[in-house]
Amino acid sequence: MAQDSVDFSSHYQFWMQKLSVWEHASTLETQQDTCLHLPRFQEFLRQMYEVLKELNSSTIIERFPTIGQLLAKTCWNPFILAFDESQKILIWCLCCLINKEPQNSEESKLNSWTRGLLSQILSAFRFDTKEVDLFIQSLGYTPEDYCPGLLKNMVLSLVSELRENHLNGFNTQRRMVPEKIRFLSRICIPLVTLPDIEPLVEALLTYHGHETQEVLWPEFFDAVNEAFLLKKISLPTSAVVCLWLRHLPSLEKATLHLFEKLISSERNFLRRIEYFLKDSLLPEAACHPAIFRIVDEMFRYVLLETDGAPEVLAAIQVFTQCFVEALEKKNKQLKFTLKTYFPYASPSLVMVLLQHPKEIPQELWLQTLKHISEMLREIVEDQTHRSYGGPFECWFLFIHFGGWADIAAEQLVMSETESSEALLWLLAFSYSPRDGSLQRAQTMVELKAALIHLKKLFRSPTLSAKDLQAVAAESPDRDPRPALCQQLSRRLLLNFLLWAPGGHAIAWEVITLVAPTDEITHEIIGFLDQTLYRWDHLCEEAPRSRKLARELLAELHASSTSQLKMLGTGSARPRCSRGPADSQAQSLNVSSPTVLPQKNQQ
Amino acid sequence: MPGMTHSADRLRQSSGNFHWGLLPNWKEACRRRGPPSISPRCSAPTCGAPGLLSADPDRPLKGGGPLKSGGLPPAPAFKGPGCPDGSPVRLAGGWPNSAGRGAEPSRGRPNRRAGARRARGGRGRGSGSARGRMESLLQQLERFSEVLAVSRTAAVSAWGPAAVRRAVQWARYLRRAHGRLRAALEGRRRAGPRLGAWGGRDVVLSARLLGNRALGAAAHRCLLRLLFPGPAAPAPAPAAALQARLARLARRRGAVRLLLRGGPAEDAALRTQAELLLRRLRDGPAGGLLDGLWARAPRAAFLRAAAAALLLDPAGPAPGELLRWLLGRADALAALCRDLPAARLAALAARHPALRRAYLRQLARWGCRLRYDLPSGRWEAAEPAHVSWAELRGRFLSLARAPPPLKDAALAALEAWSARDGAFRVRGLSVWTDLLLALGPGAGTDSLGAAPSSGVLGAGGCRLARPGPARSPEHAHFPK
Repeated sequence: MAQDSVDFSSHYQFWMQKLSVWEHASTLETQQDTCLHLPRFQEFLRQMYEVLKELNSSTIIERFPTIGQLLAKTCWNPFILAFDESQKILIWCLCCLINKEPQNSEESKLNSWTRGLLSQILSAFRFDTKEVDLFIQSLGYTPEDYCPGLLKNMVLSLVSELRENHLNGFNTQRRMVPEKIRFLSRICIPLVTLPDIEPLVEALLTYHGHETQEVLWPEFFDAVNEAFLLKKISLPTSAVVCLWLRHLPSLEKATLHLFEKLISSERNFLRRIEYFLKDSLLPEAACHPAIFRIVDEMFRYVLLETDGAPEVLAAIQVFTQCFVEALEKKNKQLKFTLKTYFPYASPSLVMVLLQHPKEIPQELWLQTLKHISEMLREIVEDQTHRSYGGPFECWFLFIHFGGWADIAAEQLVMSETESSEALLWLLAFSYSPRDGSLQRAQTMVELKAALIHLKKLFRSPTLSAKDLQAVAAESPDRDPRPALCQQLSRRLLLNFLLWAPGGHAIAWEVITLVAPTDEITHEIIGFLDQTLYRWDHLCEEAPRSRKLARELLAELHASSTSQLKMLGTGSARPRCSRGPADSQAQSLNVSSPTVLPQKNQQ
Repeated sequence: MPGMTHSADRLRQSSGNFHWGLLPNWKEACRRRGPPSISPRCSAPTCGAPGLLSADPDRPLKGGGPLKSGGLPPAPAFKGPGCPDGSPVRLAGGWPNSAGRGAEPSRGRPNRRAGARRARGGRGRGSGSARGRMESLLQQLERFSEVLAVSRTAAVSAWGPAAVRRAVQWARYLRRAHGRLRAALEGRRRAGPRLGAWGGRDVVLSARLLGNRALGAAAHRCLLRLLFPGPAAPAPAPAAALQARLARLARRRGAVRLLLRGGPAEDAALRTQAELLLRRLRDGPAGGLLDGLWARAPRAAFLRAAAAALLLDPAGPAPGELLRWLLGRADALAALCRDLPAARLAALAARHPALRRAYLRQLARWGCRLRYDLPSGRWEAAEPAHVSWAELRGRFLSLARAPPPLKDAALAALEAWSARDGAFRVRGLSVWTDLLLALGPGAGTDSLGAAPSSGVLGAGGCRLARPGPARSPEHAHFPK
């Protein structure tokens, strides 16, 4: 408590000094400095109100003899009065200053002075001329009616000036000089969240002058971006795109804001990730290649930082899907070539991957998968394809369209395919890009064995959970299988359970057998959620499988929630955090930090 | 409150269509809770209307006797401007209840007392009650406008905390009533009473009282407590809402001040005045209002706003009435043509053909008053008050620069008048010919001397009768 009051006193001194410098906000520097400090000053005002409301007027004056000065300086600063809620908090502070029972003339004088300040903040607008005042009065209106209309029209007039329009014969033919535009962008900083100003903010953002340098203040972009991210304003997408294109820090902040949201949300279902992504406007904005490249680059860093956490992989996949949707919605004919979005990738591979599986007949899926697999394999294993950035770049491109890997696993279990080799390779690559050919071949052999085992059981009328468990579990008579093989086998097994005629009956039993740890439970939950999400998007009609997947998901949720409750950790455990990501990465063997960044540098 | 009686009359004619059933919550809340009291606890929105729920039908309609006990809803009451005496405004008329829904409209004036009785008994089925209630609401609005008028005078010095509290309660109540009535009258604009500005009166009252130095210290403190309950006030409560509105007003004011630093905003100011004028015109009968404005308001400001209004929304009914009024008032029209800048008049003439014809007639009149001064070789005004040659030329220049239909009409008129005067291409003979010459080549002089095109704009003849005065405009035949 004592520390608080010391803090407050030092803040008080700091702001007193600032306000003296800012007085009347006349010079450019003071205005800039004011704008920079507006949020912090509002916070200080709030603090001050909390202090003042506990004291009576005399004590306030005793403890803060200069408070009158401070408040008066605040009342005269138009930037502060126009900012967010500052004027309201200031009024509350002034109300605390009014003495309820003035004992002497000094106190009465203070009351009267405070009243003056209050009415200075609130007594609405004064007219330019007496004549106008009288006219408005004869109409039966008041300055309070006039002020909002005037503001609206001032904004409209500035907007149309900015757009070099003519407004009904009103004189707006003057073209705005860059200095005025710069000035407006500064004036708008405190006003950004005032709904009346929105059209002007939008017009400033979309204004394209002929100047070579940016005319708008960077602080203006910061203020708009902040207000947009906090949902204090709503702007059309075009204006937001302009904001991000013109001010890179804003785009970075918006992307980080999205990451924070994804991380802090308790459990990331893909639907939820999709909601956050669409809500952020980033996929739509990414239709502009410059924005796409930056967001994509940030995803890449997060992926490397988290050692390929499955949550990040999922986010990239959903982001790409939303982006492709937005791209299609915007324009059937691409305005920019694919090369501008994926400069390091083979264009033909991008073309194939960009196709939505829904647009391809199901009987051709195998063919497409084979094609993808072959193209990737050629680039990854053939040294002549260095221009496409090597294995990591290929893998990074492929995980954007990770749905294909899931389809590959599904197809392996379901269909009698000739090309199982290619599909197995694709699966092994997508889960472990850094493996060398030999390692991958070994993985494929293991997987193939598991697959053959599953295939045998697929039509079997009597299935036992123990038989199936053997696919995923380690065999006691061999060396421990690599974690990757285990995980991939689990994936095949889960697909088997969903699609095999007899799988439904024993699904839950198998899952309890193969998921002894939280990590594996979490992995299975992720798989089921991803599968359902993919089916929804493919309009896959598989009522039985769908029903089973949903039931299993619900069951797993219920059991994992009750476990968490028993552990007392509740919902506090972030799902996309470093913790599970680490363990996942270990088992996935996705990207050893020592290898991937190097490859990335190539 | 000008126009209020008229609205009441209109309402009386139309209230048969008015469904009180559209206001179920309002009604329900009032019926359930009964009359509000003035205790501070009762400032919540559910407390219903101050004054409207009077349970005593025998009370006189206008404030007279002292406030009786029994929780009679208090309204700030005034005998005359600024005489708060604590006596309540008593407005009977009762309150609608669900049983009144769908009742058949009755004939004749509603019986206020009957309405009140019904309200008291909670069994109102009478058809006249809706009308009565509406009428009582209108009367309350009227009464409140007195309160508002007083709020900015020195008479508030006599207001105590109780009067301030009542006034603020009234204002908040009327905002809610206004909101609901507006929703209920949606689509029945013509049938509705003049509701235009009532929504924001709570803010107006608050700002006026805050700025009024005559308000006593205790009353002012009470006002601050009412208006700024601080962050603790629960958000949807009317107190918090009013606080937010006042803060927004302060913020908007700050915004205007900041934007004005970038330069004056005359266009925006004029546009705002025009919009307010149009809004007022939409609310009530135009003729009376405009006559009143012409008589009492500053004329220059009025005419500027009227012109701007005619440019804002040329298709709407309100500008139509304004235009009709203007065309019917020769003095106003002449002042308009005289006082407004040429460019603005040209814009008006381009937008409104009727105004274009009137403007050209006015220009013709002015031209006829010019005389040619042989020694100086210039057209001179006969009297200093008359429009000068330079000004007339300026007006025509601006018309000649306008887009085609207007430009063509103006030039055709000049040509026609010039033809009437003989179309001799000699300076000093006809003011119209000289004007045509002054407008320069390309301004339609090619057809100089040709016969006037039919009768559309012909007839403005004003041949100079040298050395005598020009023919008076009354003798000229102007286009209809």
